[in-house]
Amino acid sequence: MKRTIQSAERELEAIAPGLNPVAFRQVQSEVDAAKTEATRFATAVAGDLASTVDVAREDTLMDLCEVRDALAALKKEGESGRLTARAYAAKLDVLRSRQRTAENTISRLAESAENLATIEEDPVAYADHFYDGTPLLKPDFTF
Amino acid sequence: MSHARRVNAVVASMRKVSDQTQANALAAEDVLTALEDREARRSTREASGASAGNFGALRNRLAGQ
Repeated sequence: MKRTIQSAERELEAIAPGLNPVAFRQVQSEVDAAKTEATRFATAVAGDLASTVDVAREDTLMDLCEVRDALAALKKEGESGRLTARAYAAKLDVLRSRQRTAENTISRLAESAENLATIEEDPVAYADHFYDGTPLLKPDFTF
Repeated sequence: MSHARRVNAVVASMRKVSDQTQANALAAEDVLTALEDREARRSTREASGASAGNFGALRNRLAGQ
């Protein structure tokens, strides 16, 4: 029967008193195997998430450094009086927009760090929670 | 090091650049305000100069009549 690991553990606790040692070991090994698979699944998810972060990090950091330096250059240009307020404001708007995009990415990366912490803190619980929302992925148990 | 700790370190380093960017953005906004003020003052000056010129021309015309 398909069920979450938590549910399987609860069931195992309930039926354990009526099982002989051999049957108990058999049922326990099913739960252990499900936990091993859950850990493998959660570790893979964490690896994918970390790779996504690495890609986003490179692009965003590069863009943010460019915007930072461009803002400093724009300020100098504005102070020199070579630009009208209108032209200056247009350039500033573009840089501000790029800055907002980078900020949004940083917020998303911070969320990813939180998700990674959750996965790494308890990979089995993470996978089990995922299985709970995806019935087809729930592990199969004989009980 | 765990993925989470590494990503947290990455985010912290990005926040440092982000803070520098925000400081530059605020300084750039100040310059925009100064530019707008200067242009507003100039156009007020030009407008008052133009009125004074018009008034002078009118006075000369009346004096000639």
